[in-house]
Amino acid sequence: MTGTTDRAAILGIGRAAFEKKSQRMIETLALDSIIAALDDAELEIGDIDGVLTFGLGDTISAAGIATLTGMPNVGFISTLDGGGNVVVSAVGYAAAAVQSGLAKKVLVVRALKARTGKRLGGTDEPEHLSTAGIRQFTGPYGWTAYSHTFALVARRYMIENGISDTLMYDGMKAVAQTARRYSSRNPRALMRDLISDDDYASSPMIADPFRRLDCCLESDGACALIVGMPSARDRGAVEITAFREGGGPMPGGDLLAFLEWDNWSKVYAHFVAQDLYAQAGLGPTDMDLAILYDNFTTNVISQLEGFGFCGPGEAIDFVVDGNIGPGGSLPVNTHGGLLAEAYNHGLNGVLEAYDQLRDRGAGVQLSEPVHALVASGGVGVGSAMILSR
Amino acid sequence: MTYQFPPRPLCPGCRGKLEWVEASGRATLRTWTVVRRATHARLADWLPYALAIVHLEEGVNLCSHVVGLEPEQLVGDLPLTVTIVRTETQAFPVFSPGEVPEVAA
Repeated sequence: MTGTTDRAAILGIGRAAFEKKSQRMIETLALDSIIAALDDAELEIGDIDGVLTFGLGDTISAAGIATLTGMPNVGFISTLDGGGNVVVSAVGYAAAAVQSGLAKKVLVVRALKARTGKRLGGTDEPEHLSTAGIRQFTGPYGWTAYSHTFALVARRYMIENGISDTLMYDGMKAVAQTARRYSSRNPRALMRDLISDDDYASSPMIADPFRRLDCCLESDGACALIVGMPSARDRGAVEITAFREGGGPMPGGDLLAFLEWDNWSKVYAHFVAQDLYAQAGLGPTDMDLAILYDNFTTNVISQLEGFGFCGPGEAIDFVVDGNIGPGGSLPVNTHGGLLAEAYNHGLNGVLEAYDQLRDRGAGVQLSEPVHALVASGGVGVGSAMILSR
Repeated sequence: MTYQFPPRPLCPGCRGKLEWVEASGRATLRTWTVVRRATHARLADWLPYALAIVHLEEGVNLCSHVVGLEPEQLVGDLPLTVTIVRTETQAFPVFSPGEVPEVAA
């Protein structure tokens, strides 16, 4: 803690085991993570009076979680409709709730069976050919998956910054390989084998420039954390120093088909970074690590530039030169990220930042980091925060 | 005059009513991806397809396909024109390089 008492903090975290194909119910996964978070924060369920969760029609609602846990006294309950864009929002809203007195302790949970349940952007789900709303203009053309959306961002980024296919390939490969360099040392990670140059080259094309190894995992699991105003007894408190969400103008009314979006070479990060840093009185050079939303390798590149770690078009050289890897100038996704640890829709990244700031990272532990940028989102919508020990 | 796409109930700028107009059919290639793996069995026959965002001369974006070019011939801001591909039940505007075909009134 940096000494302020008016800022909320994360008081403890918990995870269910990440699995590729879980045989267990989503309720069991959620409870595993919640019980672990309560134990970590040294709290009882009766201490919790708020619940926040998020999902895309694939999870237990906040009321369901309050019921599942037998929470006796709930005053704040919210289920956010969103994906990667609202991961940090959930934590930020929890902080706002406790800072405003709406609740004392808020449980933030994300439980999902992204492999054995609803598969986002997966194959042969009838809804992927839906032509409801905005998708009447996109679905019939086969814009059905997030790989398509983020490939469109990547291509415009290449066009506007004069990035060749070869250079982009090198940058994307570096991001994919870096994730495994971290995950190879993280016993929780589902993918721990290093990726060789040949492995990457032979990975099948999905939607250019993406190969399979550029796409995040699908996995089952749950993550939970508890947000409250820290007191002296909360030895594990990690301060939520700043929070900002949003993005650029006209982000589009659909989280897959961002048809009205017209800043295709940029992402939400370019639009929230300035306000986030100003709120904290900190800048990119103050960050000891960054957790960036790596649903696709190129989104890491976009966010590195959006959050001011590199200038426009410079993130490729930055990642190729090893800056985001172990021992680099800005370690990114030290758990292996969504590409290699697990796809817990980004909340696992928040938990990793918390663990790093408590010097208990499961894999590569950095040397007493003080500030972590934690961000989630893509295209025109997202959320970000700065956590501080 | 401001053009809007997709259609919406009101102009968000002036709150005025909107009316349908015929577009020129001329556009530039904003961005694209060549899709090589079908996300649905019904899309398998299309592979590979060049899913694109095209920027119409009128200033709005459209999702479409670029046809008549190999993937390596695609470049940013490439001038394109519309062709309407008709099936039994649907009409799809798609885009390719070249002039807008003359259509009898």
